[in-house]
Formats: sequence, C-alpha cells, structure tokens
Amino acid sequence: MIFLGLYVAFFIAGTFAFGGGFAIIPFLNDMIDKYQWFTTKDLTTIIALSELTPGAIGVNMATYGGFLAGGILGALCATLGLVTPALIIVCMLAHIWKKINQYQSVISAFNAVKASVAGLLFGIFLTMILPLVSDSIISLQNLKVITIFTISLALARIKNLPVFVVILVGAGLGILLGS
Amino acid sequence: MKLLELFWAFVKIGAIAFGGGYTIVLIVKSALVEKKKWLSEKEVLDYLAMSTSLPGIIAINFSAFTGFHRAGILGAIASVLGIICAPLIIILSVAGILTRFSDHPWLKYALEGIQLAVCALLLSFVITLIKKSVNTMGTILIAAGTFCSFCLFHLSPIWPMIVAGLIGWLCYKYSKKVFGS
Repeated sequence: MIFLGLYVAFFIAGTFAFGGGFAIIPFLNDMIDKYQWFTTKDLTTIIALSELTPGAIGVNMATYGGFLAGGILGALCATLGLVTPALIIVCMLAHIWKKINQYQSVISAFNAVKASVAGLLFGIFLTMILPLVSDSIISLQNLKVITIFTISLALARIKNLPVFVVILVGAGLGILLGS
Repeated sequence: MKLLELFWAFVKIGAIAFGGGYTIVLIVKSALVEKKKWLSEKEVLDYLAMSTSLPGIIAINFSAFTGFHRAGILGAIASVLGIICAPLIIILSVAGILTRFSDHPWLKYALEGIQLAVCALLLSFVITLIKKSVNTMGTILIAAGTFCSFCLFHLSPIWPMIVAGLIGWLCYKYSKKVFGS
C-alpha cells in the first residue's frame, strides 16, 4: 500500500510545486513527519544526489525519495506521481493558457504563493542545519560547520558556477576537516 | 513512429541535462529547434514562460508542451516518460552503490560536508527567491506568516500556499492592483 501512498503524495507535490525543483522540498519534509519514509538527514542526501546526477532536480528528488521509501517500485511510483499532474495540466491548458496567464488575478495569486514558498523553504533550511550545530557554542564541531557552510554559501552565490561544484567542494572539505 | 522518435529524443536530453530546468531548455533549443526543426525559437520561449508560471517541475512542463505540440496528448506522455528515463536508471544505480558503502568513514565525513553544502544551496535559493518575489509589504507579511506557521505547527505545506494564493487573488479582486508588484 506504500506504493499507492507514494504515488498520491508525490502527485500532490507535483500539483503544488511553484517555482522550480526546490519547491517540492516542503512536501518531502512533510513526508518525513507524516509517513517516516525517510529522515531529515536523508533529505539532504536526496537533494545532493539530485543535483549531482543529470535530469530535473525535482524529478530526481522524487526518484531517490521513492527509492528510500519503497525500493525500485517505490521510485517508479513516486516519479510517475510527480509528473502526472504536469501532464494533465499541460494537456488541458496548452491552448488556453496564454489567455489565462494574462489574467492579473492569476498573477496576483501566483506571486503570493511564491512568497509563501520562500517562507517555507527558510523554515526547512533551519530544520536541516540546526541538527548539525553542536550545543556548546564554542566547539571544534561548530568551527567546522561554520567554515564549510560559509565557503559553500560563498560558492553558491557565484553566478553560473555549476551546482555540483558546490557539493563536491563540501564533500572534500568534510573529508579534510573530519578526519 | 513519431511517438518513438519523441521518446528517444527526450531520453537523450534527459541523460545529459545536468542542473534541471533551464539546461534542458538550452539542449532542446540546439537539438530540436536547430537540428530537427520540430519547433521554432519563439515557441521555445513561449513554452518556457508557460512552464515557469505553471505549477510543477519546469523541465517536465516544458517536455510535455513540446511533446503536445508535436503529437498531441500521446506525444506529451512520450516526451515526459523519455525525460525521466535516464535519471531514473542513473539514480537507482547510484543509490544502490551508496547504500552498500554507507559505513565507510570517508563517505560519512563527505556526507557531513555535503549536508552543509546543501544547506548553503538552499539558503542561496531562498535569498534569490526573496530578492525576486518578496519585495513588497504584502509579500513580506506572507513569507513571514508562512515561516511562523511552519515553525509553530507541523502543517502540510499545501495550506499556507492555498491561503497565500487566496490572499493574492482577493487583493486583486478588491484593490485592482496586482499583488506583489
């Protein structure tokens, strides 16, 4: 029954993902609470692996998330669930979308939703980084966290730098400072 | 034949498109506009604009539009199945390897670094999103309100998004001013 659950959960994520692949992260985070299909730590691995492999990030996240929850069949169900709403919406709207897109009320609603996604993603950023920070403020662990995070953020802000570079540098620094 | 051709073209696009959405658009431009002449440059730009403003994954929307343009509903299905093919196989093989070696200490340290890099990428994405979409009083209130509701209650993300959408729509209805601009 997990397979039907995966299909439905990712169908909902695909329907409400506004603003690119990262927009399905709030839904993955919700699955952690609701179904325990994977953990918060898995979520960062899901994002990293999706950036490192070819293909759309959102789809890759669904594939790996589905795999963690239910193996190969789980991966298939999650991925198909994610793309089904896009197929339905595009086929229905291919002809009339140009007209709808000019409705100011639709643009208004979409603008508000995008602002809401920004708030959600900032919350998820905190739930992802806080477990990595040690309780004692001045510690070797926190020095490591601050160093890697600051360097990664500086790299992430460079325009046109491929994202996988940021992840590979993070991995290298992790090995260097960890061992 | 047309369907198989579409499917195969998108399998190849999916296999080389690192980084998602916009990369796929660039590859489509060189493969399908310049080489195969399945659609014009203007159509690519139209479909890109539509794919971005519609909900859903941009790359998938874009593939579906291109497939629909060429061969109707079945064409859209063939293109979308094609574009998810290669990543599906690649991720499943990598995932298999990753679970086998997950106890290796080097991989553990690397993963810790990767987690921080991913956090940095996420924050960077939020910064870009805020610069682009959170720049009026109304949008700031919505972003802050969503953040608070996320921290206080463990709600499904659908609810704050639906409420935000309603607010944006009502604001236009009563003030005739586009929300967030």
